[in-house]
Amino acid sequence: MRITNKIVNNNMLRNLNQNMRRLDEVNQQLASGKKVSFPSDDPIAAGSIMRLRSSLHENEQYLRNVKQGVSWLHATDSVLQDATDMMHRAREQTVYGASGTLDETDRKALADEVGQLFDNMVQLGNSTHGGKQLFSGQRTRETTFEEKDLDGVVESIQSLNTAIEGMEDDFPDLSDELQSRLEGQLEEHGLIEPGETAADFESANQEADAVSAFLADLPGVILEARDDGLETDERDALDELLREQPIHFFGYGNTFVSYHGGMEDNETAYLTREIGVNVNIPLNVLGNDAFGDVFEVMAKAYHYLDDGNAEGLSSDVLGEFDDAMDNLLGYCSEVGAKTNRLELAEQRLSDLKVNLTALFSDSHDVDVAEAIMHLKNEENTYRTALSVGARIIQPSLVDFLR
Amino acid sequence: MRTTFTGIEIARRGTTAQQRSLDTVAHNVANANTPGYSRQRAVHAASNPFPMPSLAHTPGSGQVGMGVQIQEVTQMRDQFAEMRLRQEYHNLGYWQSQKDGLTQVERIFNEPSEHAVHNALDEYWNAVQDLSQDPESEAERNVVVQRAQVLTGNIRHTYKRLAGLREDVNADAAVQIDAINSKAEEIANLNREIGKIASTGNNPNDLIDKRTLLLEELSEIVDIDVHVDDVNMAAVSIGGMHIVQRGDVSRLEADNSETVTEGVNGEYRRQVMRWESTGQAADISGGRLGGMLEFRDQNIEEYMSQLNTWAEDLYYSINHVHGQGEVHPDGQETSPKEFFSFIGDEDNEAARNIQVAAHIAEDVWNIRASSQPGVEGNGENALAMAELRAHGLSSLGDAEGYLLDADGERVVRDGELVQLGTEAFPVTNTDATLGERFNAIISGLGVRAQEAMKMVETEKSLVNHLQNLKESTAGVNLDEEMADMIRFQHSYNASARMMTAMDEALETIINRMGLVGR
Repeated sequence: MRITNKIVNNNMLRNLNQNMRRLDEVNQQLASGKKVSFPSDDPIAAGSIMRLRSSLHENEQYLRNVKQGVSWLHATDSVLQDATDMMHRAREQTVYGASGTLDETDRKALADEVGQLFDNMVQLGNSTHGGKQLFSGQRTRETTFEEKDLDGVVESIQSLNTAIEGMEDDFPDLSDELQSRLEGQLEEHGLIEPGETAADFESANQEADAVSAFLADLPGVILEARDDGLETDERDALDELLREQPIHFFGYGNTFVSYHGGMEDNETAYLTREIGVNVNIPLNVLGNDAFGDVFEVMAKAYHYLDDGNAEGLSSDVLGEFDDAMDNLLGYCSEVGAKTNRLELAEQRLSDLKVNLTALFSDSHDVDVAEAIMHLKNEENTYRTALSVGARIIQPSLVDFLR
Repeated sequence: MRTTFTGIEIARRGTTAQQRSLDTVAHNVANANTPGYSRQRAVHAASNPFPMPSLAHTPGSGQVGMGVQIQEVTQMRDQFAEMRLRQEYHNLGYWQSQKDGLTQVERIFNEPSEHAVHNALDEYWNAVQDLSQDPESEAERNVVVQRAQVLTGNIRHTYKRLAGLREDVNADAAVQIDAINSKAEEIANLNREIGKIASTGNNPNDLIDKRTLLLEELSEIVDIDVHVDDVNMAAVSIGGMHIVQRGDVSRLEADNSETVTEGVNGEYRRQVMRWESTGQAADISGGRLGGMLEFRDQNIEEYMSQLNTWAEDLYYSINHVHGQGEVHPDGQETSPKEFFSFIGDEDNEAARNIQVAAHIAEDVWNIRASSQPGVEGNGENALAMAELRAHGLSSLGDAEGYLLDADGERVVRDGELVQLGTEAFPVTNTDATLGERFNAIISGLGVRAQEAMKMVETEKSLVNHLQNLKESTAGVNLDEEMADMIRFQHSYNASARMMTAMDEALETIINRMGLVGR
């Protein structure tokens, strides 16, 4: 092929240009620290960068969920521990009171202390974590347990009655059914006379014990209706009623405690956390599950101590104390197991984070050593091309003619 | 019998011919760097010989050579390489347009960066996850709304910039039409002059060079066919229609008088290329302009459509899950069930119009995070929304494959139900997640842009090769010209010397002879 000066020139320029472009590419990579700035640099790497970044975000979120979950469980655990300690203390008082050698003043003093412990227990049951009630299920902003006197309880039952009557328009059958159940119970416990309605139930002259017994049975009676083949919309209405009206009561003396938290029956019980794709675990312990028995047994202990029923204390109450304590400890160990599980998950997620970060950095970040090597390489090629070019371009026959 | 001055005449012809050759060398050297210039050669040929007139002349005893003459000045050209070069030029132009366009689309999507749609989507998922754990927190609700606004803002911005790019290319195409017309005029003018000169039997070398260069430039803009006739005039056609024939030009025009709505996203005034004389649409393919039009009508539309489809998926899948939830007790139970809405309820261009629904943006308690009415700590529906990140779009339609809206009703568009997996809604229930689907758009774009870049490199090296091939015949080699220069210089000197010899001979005859006895 015949070569002209222009061909030599063009080729040299083109080669220089290509060298310079490669130099610029490496330079860009080094300056930005990124291997891939645009999808066309490496479409496959761009795809995996985006995917890995998503995974990293996701992992980060799960890790945050787990950490918050662990802190929630720690808070729950410490409250349950305190509750157990308090139960020990109350049990000791009961054992002391069951000996039967105490005089009335001492027994009353013991009863007062159990009462104090009861109040403290209610406080524990109302513990919060980050502004949320620990034991209320999904009703995180409702105070879990509320102490009421007899008047308050009657008011609550009246308001329940009103709410049931309020259902009359939409669900007459359900309303009638619930009302008859409520009135049947009131009558059974002698709180109203036969022929009276729930509206006639008043606080005057009521025995605290009878009210207590009535209250203990009430939720079961109302909820039974739920299992008797309700229509979907009736069931929803009943659920709404259960959400609006606290119907779990526990009490001692003339003090009653109502539970306002979520309940399993109407699916407001659990606060679930996602700690991995499709891995949801409920973290919370429900107040009426953990504290229901506790309140009941402490109230009973209070009454027996107050009444001087030493035999009842040793035969019933101590055994019930043990059961309630077992129950509480059961929740403690459940919380411990969940904490373990979350900590394992945290470990796994942290490991995964390291792996993902390494993979991400692999496709996203420039290997500086390698890039600098390339840079030097391209630089050399460029210099060589320049010096060779300078030599080729220079002479022609013109230079040698006189 | 030879005439007295024959020798001088032969020597004169010698000097003239060498001088003409030297002039050609000078012309070559001067034009060594002129674009499109082909080197020229003055072709030497012996002049017609002269039979010696004599009484005793016998035919065939030889003729007297009468020196040299310049037969013609020719060009050294490789017409095959020129034709191939024109073909590759239009390929190069086409891919260059594609590359420029796709690179801009890449810039517009700005992936994989932390300031674009995909990352905004990730952050939105995380915010919804956070909300699922703290549904009673106003702060988390605000974050969800902010993230969703960043996400929809990003989508709208990307889409609008794609539409803007379409307008830019549209305007640029009109400029290319002007360039085609002015080059066609120049070619026609050159044709006329070339025709005049060629018909007198001369070689219009430099004019042909100019025209060849113009044809190359024109072929980079659009795919052309060139036919050169017997008087060396070029006929140029685009898509089977002559744009230049001899001295006549048929002009093209860019017409954007009509608003296009069919087959495009939204509506805009598209430049349509027409023949000015007949008003017929011109069939333009290849070249920079062809690449541009294809990029405008296919590539940009495709990416706009993909973004629209994706935004629709986002809209329907999130809304569908959101609609199944319940508002916070502080929100309005009767508020609409949508999370996203379309600006002005325009659902034909989802990516241009998607936004966070007004009732949500104004009152964050209306986010339906709960699965139970009136339960403040229930974040189960937010969790269901957040799980869309990993679950794909399995909840878009009902069992029979009809698209569902936020209220769980079948979507009716233009009086018809919308079926999944059809043209109206290309996504199906079993498709990948939103993130993966967006990835696929970007990967596809990357592959295509990379292909265009590689094609540009390939075409460049092909063009370079052909240019060199052409140059190897037509180009000026200075060494060669210098050698020729020396050759012609020496010949000139020798001819001059011949003249001196003849002069001396005449001197002898005229001045010295017949002096005997003087």
